[in-house]
Amino acid sequence: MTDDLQEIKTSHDALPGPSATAIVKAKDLLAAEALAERTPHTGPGKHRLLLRTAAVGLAAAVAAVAFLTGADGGATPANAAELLQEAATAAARQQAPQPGQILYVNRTDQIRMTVWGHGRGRSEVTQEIRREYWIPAADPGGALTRLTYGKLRTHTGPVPTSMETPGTVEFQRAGPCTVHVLSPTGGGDLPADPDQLLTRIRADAEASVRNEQPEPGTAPPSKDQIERLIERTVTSRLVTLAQNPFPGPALRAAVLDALSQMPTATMRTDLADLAGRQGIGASIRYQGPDGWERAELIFEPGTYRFLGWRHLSEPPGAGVQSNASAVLETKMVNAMPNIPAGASEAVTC
Amino acid sequence: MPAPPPQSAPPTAETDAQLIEVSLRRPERFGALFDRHHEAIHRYVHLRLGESAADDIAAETFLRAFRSRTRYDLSRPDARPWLYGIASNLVDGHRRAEARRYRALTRSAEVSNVVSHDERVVQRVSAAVMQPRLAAGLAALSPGDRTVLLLVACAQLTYEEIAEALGVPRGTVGSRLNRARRKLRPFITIEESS
Repeated sequence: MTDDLQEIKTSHDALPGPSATAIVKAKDLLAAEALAERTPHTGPGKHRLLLRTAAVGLAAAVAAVAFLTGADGGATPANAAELLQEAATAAARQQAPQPGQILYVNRTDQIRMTVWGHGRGRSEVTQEIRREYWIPAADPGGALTRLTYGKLRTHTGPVPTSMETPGTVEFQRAGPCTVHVLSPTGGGDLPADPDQLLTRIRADAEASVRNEQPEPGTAPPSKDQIERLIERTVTSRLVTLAQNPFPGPALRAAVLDALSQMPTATMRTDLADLAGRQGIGASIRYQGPDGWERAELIFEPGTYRFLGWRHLSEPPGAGVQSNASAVLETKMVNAMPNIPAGASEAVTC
Repeated sequence: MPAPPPQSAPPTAETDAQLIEVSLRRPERFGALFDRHHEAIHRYVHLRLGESAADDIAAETFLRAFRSRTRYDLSRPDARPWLYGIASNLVDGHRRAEARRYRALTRSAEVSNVVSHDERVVQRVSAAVMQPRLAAGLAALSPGDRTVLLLVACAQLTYEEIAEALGVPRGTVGSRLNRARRKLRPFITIEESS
């Protein structure tokens, strides 16, 4: 910088910063403005003006706190909708991988299931599975999944003999592992606009539900039942998409944004993921085929990075069953492993 | 199927554009933008109009920014040009006050021989704000040229950013800056040679 510019800069930099009083006053004004904006503009102009004026005083005591505590990632969302919108924003900020790059996702899952033995009755077990995904940016359909089975716990019934022993490794080519939430006739990729996405999924869900034939001898569902089935289908498909590692940043953002519009979403601040990480979560309740189900999407406080999910079902007359997953690592890699000769092909993804 | 999400490493600090985007849904998040830039905007206005006016105009700058944030171009991660543009427009509405300020700061040089305690205090305070010769030089500039010069010197904005802030072509920024520095040079040179 030349002398004249430097001299101006020196004079400028030597000036004192604003006084604490000036800062507080400015923040109060801004907080009042924010508070007034949050107030629905339903009344006449004069009413709004009074409201805004009153808000200046109120904001000094209340809303300004939000500014003073600095929301550079520190403030807690007020509800599940805000949380999911924050998460959508965080997801959208993620840079999409370039062609030639491969996304590696390492996650640990805990699956609770019912196993029927050969004449030995039924068992309730929980299996831990490590899933690693290699997803080529240019060809997600060519992804590879490696499953490594972990501990098996038997809750009820005999220890099943048909389960994979800990340490068993299986590979799965992407095809069946990718998640297509639309019916085969739904066709095409999902839009990355939340409203369009919701419209598309709802239309497909509605078609699926209405086309479903009732069991022989049972009465067709009522209009009300059909509406509930549609809502359930929409929610469960969005939850499925949110949990899946395959959607890119834009679609993931759209899914989370769409989920923020679900009326049954509630926020929880006391969640921990399967890896024990404390998180903030959106709990989405919906009616499943066997009773109420609840999906909890867990995010890192502040950054709203997706940590994992838990799934709980509440079958009538039975306890809560739980599946869970924690995303341990995602990174870009340059290559994916080769499937060893003779390696087993996974039957699940 | 679209491309998958990349790394899960904690993201770096949010850009200004990201904060503004979030503030569209959560207005209180605009406070983070205030925390980042209020002091700099205040200091810029302080240099031009004095501390008292800076308190009001810096506050007004953020109020106006908040109200117009829906029109902010989110493809621009750094909001400083936008904020400095708003502040400069507000300062522009106080041209006479700015001119009076520079003249006052200039006059402090003329009292160098005074001996009263009060006057010496005034002189020291003035010198702490700005060298009188610099104030005289700034007073000689047209408002438009002065704004460009101060945005380069104080805010360290690029030509492109100043063009964006003031809504003028980049070439205009260059010509204004050249003209301002050419006019300012004699004031600096005289002092250095003396």
